[in-house]
Amino acid sequence: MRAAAGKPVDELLKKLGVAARGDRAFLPHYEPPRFIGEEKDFPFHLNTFKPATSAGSRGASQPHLQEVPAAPVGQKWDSWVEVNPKVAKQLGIVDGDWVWVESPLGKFKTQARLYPGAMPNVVNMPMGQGHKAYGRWAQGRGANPNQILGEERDGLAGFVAWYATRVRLSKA
Amino acid sequence: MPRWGMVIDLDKCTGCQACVVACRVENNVPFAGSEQAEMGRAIFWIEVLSIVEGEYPNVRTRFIPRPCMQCDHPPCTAVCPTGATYKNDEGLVAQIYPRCIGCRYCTNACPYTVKFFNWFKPQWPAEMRNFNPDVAVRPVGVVEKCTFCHHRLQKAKEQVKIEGRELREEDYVPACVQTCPTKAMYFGDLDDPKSTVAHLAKSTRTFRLLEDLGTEPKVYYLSEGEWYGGRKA
Repeated sequence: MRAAAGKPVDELLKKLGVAARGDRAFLPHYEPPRFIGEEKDFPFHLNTFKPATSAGSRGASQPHLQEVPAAPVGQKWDSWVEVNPKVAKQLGIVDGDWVWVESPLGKFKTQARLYPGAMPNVVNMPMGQGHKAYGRWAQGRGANPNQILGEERDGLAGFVAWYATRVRLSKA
Repeated sequence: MPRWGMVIDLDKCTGCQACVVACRVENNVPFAGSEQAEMGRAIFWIEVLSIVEGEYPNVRTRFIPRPCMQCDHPPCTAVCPTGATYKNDEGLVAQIYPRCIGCRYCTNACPYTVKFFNWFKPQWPAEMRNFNPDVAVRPVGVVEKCTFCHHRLQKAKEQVKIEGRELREEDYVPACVQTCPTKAMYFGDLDDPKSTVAHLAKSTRTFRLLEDLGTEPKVYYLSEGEWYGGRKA
């Protein structure tokens, strides 16, 4: 292995963004997580989730499912982004304010809802709205956080890192 | 005469809202649309309340499904000027829609906010018009609320008469109780000592909403924590 693992393998590892080099890359080791966006510019992690009534975005075409208030903030017929109340206060955001959610890949506008369960450096946003088609009840309603998620993988197995994108919030 | 009641186990409720959707479909409840829903006019005969307690990092969210409490001392029937809402002899707080004049005294009197006024003529798109034929569609200007799926009781009574037998616990079950995927809801006759609800209503985990108001609601809740005997809400 040592004879074969020379420069070409290390170059490949570097290209893949893997921190380990040489034999270490093939043994159990720690790979630091990689994020898209610098913390100083984009202070929040964007956590996306699927509410039960949205059923992974299929519920958007059903009026009853759109109207059922979503836990825990009770939003109906629209998207929202959950922000920790103390952090929101520092940013001058009150419950219901429209905010820009921006990552290095793009931005969109949605309503901020205060939720104490949100970690101070994480904002949570549901998937399932922001359809460009899919019928009269779904089309053009709400925002789709997936549009500003970047592509990143974990350095050990190469799995897609869904929550690697950092964002910033600003009042709209 | 039976006294119909419900017990909801909050340990088992996951807040999935299947009960809310099943109820709306069973009872021909219209959807309000985004503008009317924004004004708080969306009708939910059963609603899942998300109660958030505490501050980060000690936060707890509780899901509490809240149908009509079917009170034994209902504030809504006391204020109705026309007798459009009344308590029948099986303990159900019933409604006669043609008698309702839409004054909304009952809506204001109910401390649980389970009564809803029809601010507009209920409308459904063509694709959603396969209604439940057993339930009347309400016109604009009347108040409506959860009936514990009273139409299912009517059908069950007719069925057991044909079969020549007594009504059993499994014959009459409201749509929400039937739908619940975790079996968190129980329904039955509170005055029947052999029924599940009569037994659960006496558990140490049991509480009711706003008990100090004296409305005597017939919806009981089992608070979370079955393994440590629950805690009082």
